[in-house]
Amino acid sequence: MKIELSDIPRLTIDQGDFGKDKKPSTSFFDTLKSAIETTNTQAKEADQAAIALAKGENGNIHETMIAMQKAGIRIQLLVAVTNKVIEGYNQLTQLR
Amino acid sequence: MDLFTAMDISASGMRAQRTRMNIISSNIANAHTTRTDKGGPYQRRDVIFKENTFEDQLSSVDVQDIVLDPTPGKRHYDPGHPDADAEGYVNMPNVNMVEEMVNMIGATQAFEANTTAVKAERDMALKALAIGRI
Repeated sequence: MKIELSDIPRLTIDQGDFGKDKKPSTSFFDTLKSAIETTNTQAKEADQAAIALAKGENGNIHETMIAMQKAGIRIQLLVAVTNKVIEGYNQLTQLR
Repeated sequence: MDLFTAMDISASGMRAQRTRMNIISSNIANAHTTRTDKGGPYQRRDVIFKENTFEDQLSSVDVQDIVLDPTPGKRHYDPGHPDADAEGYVNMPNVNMVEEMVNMIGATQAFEANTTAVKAERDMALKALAIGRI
């Protein structure tokens, strides 16, 4: 069987408004702030779930573990983003 | 569709299997119970799972109902038993221990499958984060 190149589906990327001259509705730092807040709530949730489990109030082991995993991933994501921000800032300060 | 939607779905699966496990332990614990509040022997219970669609094509699982198994139980001859009828037979619960054991293995395996899914989801998230670390 001969396969034409045109038969193969291509991966297309919907660029949307990306790159167009358009002002974002929220600033980057607002996004970062809301990300920090989400991470904080999730970490608190995980904390409360762990405390409730230890106290014997909540027998949901799997939900506690999942909450902890979620919080861990969120924190790692936030750290990755902040590291990138600091890296960018450092690059700007070293401009000369 | 959030980063953690898959985890929430798996959590619902685990919750459902845990309920199933609770019902199985109730059945096993009451395998020889001849008295209930309603009268008569204990009746075996079963869980009914229902799909819960919360987003287009995405659904978690809910425990819709816990139903009683209507099949009649064994009649056991024991005239000395306080719950024996006029002929000396005691109505025993309709719990089949072998069946419960098989269901228990099923519940354990299904729970484990969900934990494996959670692990895979976590690994995928961490792999995605690794893109940032050059």
